[in-house]
Amino acid sequence: MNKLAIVLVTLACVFSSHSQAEPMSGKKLYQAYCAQCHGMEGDGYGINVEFMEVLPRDHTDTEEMSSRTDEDLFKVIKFGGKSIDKSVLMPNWDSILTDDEIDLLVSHLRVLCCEIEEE
Amino acid sequence: MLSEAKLMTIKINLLSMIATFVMLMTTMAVKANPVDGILSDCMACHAVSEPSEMTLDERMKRIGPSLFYAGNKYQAIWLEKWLQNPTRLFPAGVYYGEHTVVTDEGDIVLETDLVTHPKLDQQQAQEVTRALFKLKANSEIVADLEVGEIKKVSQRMGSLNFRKFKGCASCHQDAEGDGGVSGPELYTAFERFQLTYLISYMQNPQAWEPKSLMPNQHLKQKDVEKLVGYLKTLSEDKP
Repeated sequence: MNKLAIVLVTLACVFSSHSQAEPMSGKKLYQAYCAQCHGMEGDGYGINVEFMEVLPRDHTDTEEMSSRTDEDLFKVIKFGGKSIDKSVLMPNWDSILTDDEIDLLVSHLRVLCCEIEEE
Repeated sequence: MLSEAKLMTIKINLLSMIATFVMLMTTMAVKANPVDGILSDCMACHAVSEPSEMTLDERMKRIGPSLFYAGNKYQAIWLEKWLQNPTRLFPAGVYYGEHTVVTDEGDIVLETDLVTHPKLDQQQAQEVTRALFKLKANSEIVADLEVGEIKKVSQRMGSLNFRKFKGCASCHQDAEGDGGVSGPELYTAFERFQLTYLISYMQNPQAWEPKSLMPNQHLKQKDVEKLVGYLKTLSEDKP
C-alpha cells in the first residue's frame, strides 16, 4: 500500500507542476496593466503621468467613480477611452484581457473607489 | 486466475511506470532547445529558451526581456555594440511594478533598484551576438510579412502622431528623458530592432509575447509604417 501512496504522490506532484499559476485577482491585473498610469494605489499618479496631456482617472474618487456604471467601466477597459468619447491615452485592452478578467478589474475598481469588497 | 495481491502488484508497477514516463517527458520538455553554453550566464535574467508556459506571474517576475527569439528581433550590429556599452532600455525595469514606490509626489521609479546590464568586451560581445542569432523562435510570424519602403516622417507630425493620436508616449520615450517610462525607450528602436519584428510586434504584440503588457491597438499596416517612419526619423536625424 505504501508503494501505491508513493506512486500517487509522485503523479500528483507531476501534474500539479503544470498548474502552479497563482489565482488571478483584480488587484494583480490592476498592478500589471493599470497602475503604470493610474498609480499603484489608484490615485491617478502613476509613473507615466509626468508626460501625459490628460491626467488618468483617479480611481479613489468616490463621487466620480460612483457616477460610472459597471457597464461603462467594462466598456472603457475593453475598447479604450475613445469608445466613450474620452482620451485615446486610455488604450483598448481587448487583446490582453478576457471578459472575466475585465469583470475582476471592475470589481477591484469598486474596492478602490468605494471600499466594496471584491467578489 | 491471478490472486488479488498479484493483480494489485501489477497495477502498482504499471502506475510506477506511467509516473516515471510522465516525469521523464516533463524534464525533457523543459530541456528541449539546448542553447549555446556562452548564454548560460544570461539565463539568470533572460529566457533563452521558450518557456513551456507563459503566465502573467512569470511576466511580472522578469528581470530582462526574452531572448529565445533574439535572432528574429535585434539587429546584429546594434546588439554587438550595445553589449559593449549597455544603456538602459527599460527606464522602469522590465516590469515597472517591481521598482515603483508610492510617494506624496505620486509614484516614482526607484532607480537604485534597477539592474545594470554587464558590460562585455569586444570578443565576448561578438560571441554572444553569434549565439543569440541562433535563437530563432517565432520565425513563422515574420516569414510572409511584406514590408513596404519606410519613409521618414517629419519630426513635428511624427511626434504629434506618437504622442497625441496614438498615445505611444504614455508608456514610451521618443527622446531621452521625455515620455512614459513603463515601456522600453523607442528613440533607438529603429536601429535596435529588425524591421519585420518592429512592424509585426506593433501590429500584434501578443503573437511574440502572449503576456506582453502592450495592448494591440488594431493598427492598420499603413498606420504602423507611419509610426515606424517616425522611429526612423528619430534614429537618423539625431541632434
